[in-house]
Amino acid sequence: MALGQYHKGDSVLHRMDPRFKLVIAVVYMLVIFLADDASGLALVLAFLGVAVALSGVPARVLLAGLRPVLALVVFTFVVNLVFIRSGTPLLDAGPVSVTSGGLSTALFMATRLLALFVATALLGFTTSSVDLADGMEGLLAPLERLGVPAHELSMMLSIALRFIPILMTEKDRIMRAQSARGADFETGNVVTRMRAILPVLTPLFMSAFRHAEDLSTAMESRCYHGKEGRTRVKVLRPAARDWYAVAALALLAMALVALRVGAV
Amino acid sequence: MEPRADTGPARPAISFRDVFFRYHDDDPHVLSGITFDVAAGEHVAIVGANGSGKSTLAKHINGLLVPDSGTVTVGGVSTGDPHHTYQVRASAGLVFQNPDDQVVTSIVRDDVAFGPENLGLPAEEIVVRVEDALRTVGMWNHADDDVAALSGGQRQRVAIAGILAMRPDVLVLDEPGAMLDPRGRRGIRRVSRELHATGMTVVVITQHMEEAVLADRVIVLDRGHVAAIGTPAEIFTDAGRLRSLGLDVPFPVLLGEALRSRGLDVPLTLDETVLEEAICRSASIR
Amino acid sequence: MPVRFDQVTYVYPGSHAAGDPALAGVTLEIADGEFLGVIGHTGSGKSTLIQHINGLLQPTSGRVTVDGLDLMDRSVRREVRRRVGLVFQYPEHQLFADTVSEDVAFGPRALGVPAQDIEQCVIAALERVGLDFCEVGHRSPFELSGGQMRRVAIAGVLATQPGTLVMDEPMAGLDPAGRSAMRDLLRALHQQGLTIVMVSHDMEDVAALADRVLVLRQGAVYAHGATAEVFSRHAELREIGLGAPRPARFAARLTSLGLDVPDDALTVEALADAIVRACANCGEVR
Repeated sequence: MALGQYHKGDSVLHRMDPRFKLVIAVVYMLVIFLADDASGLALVLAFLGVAVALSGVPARVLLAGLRPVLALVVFTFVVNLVFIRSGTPLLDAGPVSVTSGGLSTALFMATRLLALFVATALLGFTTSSVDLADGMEGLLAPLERLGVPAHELSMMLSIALRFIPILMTEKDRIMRAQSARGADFETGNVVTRMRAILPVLTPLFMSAFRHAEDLSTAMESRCYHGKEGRTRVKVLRPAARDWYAVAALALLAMALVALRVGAV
Repeated sequence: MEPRADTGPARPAISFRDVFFRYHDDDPHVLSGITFDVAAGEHVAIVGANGSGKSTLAKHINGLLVPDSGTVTVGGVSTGDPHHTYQVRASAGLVFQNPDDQVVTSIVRDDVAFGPENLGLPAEEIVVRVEDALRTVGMWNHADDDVAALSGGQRQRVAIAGILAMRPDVLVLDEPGAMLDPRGRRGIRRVSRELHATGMTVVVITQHMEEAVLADRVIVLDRGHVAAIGTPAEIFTDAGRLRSLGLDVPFPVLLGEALRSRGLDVPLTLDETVLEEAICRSASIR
Repeated sequence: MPVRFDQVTYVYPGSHAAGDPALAGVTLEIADGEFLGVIGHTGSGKSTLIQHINGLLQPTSGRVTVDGLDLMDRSVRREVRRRVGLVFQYPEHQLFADTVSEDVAFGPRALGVPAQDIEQCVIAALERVGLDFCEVGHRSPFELSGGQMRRVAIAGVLATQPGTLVMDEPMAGLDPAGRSAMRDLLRALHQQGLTIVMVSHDMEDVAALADRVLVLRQGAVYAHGATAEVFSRHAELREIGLGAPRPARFAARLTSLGLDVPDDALTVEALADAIVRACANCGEVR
């Protein structure tokens, strides 16, 4: 997940209403599964391709953001390749055999998974955590009537996202300090490795509490007192591009359904 | 930022009268009988060893803490008055040590807007204030940057901008350079100097002599009491008292002391140039 | 020779490269019993360098050996970490155990000190940093004062009786009294025979404690030599944005004004002596 990998920019995707972006991203990830053959997948990829083009994110950055999940995609490919047996055999090495059916399924599955990750990455690259929190608050706002604390949740999300990189840096720092004292985080079985984490978790928690206390003091100093009386500089207002995106996604979904139904 | 208009006859910007405070009833007092004034437009440094009550005092200035007894007034308004809590907090802006723990959102521009948003100001006004504040601290060209990408000194300047956007009359900086490298500290000193030049009242709490000697007046705290108030020249040339208060003696004074104990007749001064001239004079006389 | 760097270059994984290594061709030797001060701007490679000394990082090219052991060899690193203690900035932030003695015992236990010797190691280490095992051993480290917590963290590193101690900004965040106590501690440890490597932003601390100084600039060795010699190179230090300690700079100013004072004085007392001598010489010449 490419959270915290916001890529500064001013593209169409960057300027989209974050509420729309969030919903469209989630729905798209579900719509992907409507595709069950090559032509469906092609449509899915075409939609994604347009999104990538409209994001202004350079290919290099996108690929770097996908690196952590590459292993999973490759794993999916290999598992399907090896275990799906259908169609003409291409390679036979005893217990392991590769068939044409396996190959096409593997390509399909891996590509679909990749599309899922690219969509998530794109969301992360084009949506700052501020936008993310605003979007979430906007989406939850109608639920406030039912007692859902949209503003508070959004504030929590915003602060959590802000502090993830900080706490990760501190985790590294603490791990280095404990390693210098002989702590070993790499060898041993699951149990020993879990025990090795304690000298990192405790200081990290203490650190998180320290940050929380200092930050709340600073927020109070800046006159924060909850949602009452607060104004916002950014007011979320959907623009034409947001509606076009909804329409495009709706078209994609309908096309995929048509393909499935037609195929039956 | 525009220079401030003259506010007329002297009403102190900050006034402490006989303030006592402790965090818990069983603890010793952290502040005991604190009394002092800060005039509008003054640059005051508050120094003292760890545990002398400096940070506690800072939090009393903007009303985060209120005295157990005694009063603190800022711009004529008592910090203990619950009807004016936010007015006090907006008029006395407090900047803390840790640059990370003051920035609430991830994007510079959005974070600077946080304070004005809390004050319920209209969006157009906030936009103006954000630009103003960021330009004052020299961070306007970083307005759309991710806060995490900035250096410590830059982040601290963003924190200051966030306070300036609330248009305070008084700026209180609690050890603003403590977690920064020398370059970062220089940047902060420059900003507070420039702000002071526009007429803002600046209170700096610091352990660093280079910051304290720039002030108009120095207030020395010792275990919750005001131990001394005076100009930097008065406070920092009394080496013996500085030591007993757990403070650093500035280099020129240390050197002057050492030379005098060796029989050279030189003044005790903060000004290195004056000391140099005195030494050269001694050399020619001999 | 305890520590040896041989053409060590280091590039952080994922950084855009060979154009910007964190360390570039560093070659140096740290002798037994030496006190080495490491100075340089933020980003000059100081922190990267010290992490190579105990094998937390391995060179991208080149070699680091400690007591003849090559740190590329993973099996050797554990032994090296017993011999080389590394204390990061704000070490009190790594304390985690329920009691002080448990925290201090963590290192020896992890590095294979036999169980029956551990308590003795803990007691001895606490004593070396000026803490009494009977008084603090059973207490939670989080109950102690900031200064005490830092000393507990240092004891945790001393508990394996390393021959070399590497410290990153040991004075960070300390007030004058704390700094003075830390200087005394480091001096005492050095006198007990420890080789000490100290990274610092404070020229005065380095001048007061170090035998030799290493100046880093953009990952490369800019200067390396006896303290007085390195600090006398004012122009070169100024060029990379570092200042020499104040006594050296003051002596240089006096010399430029006509009073010839050698600029190898590292402390105020030494400078005062040098000035008095220079003045006396003036008198004799006349």
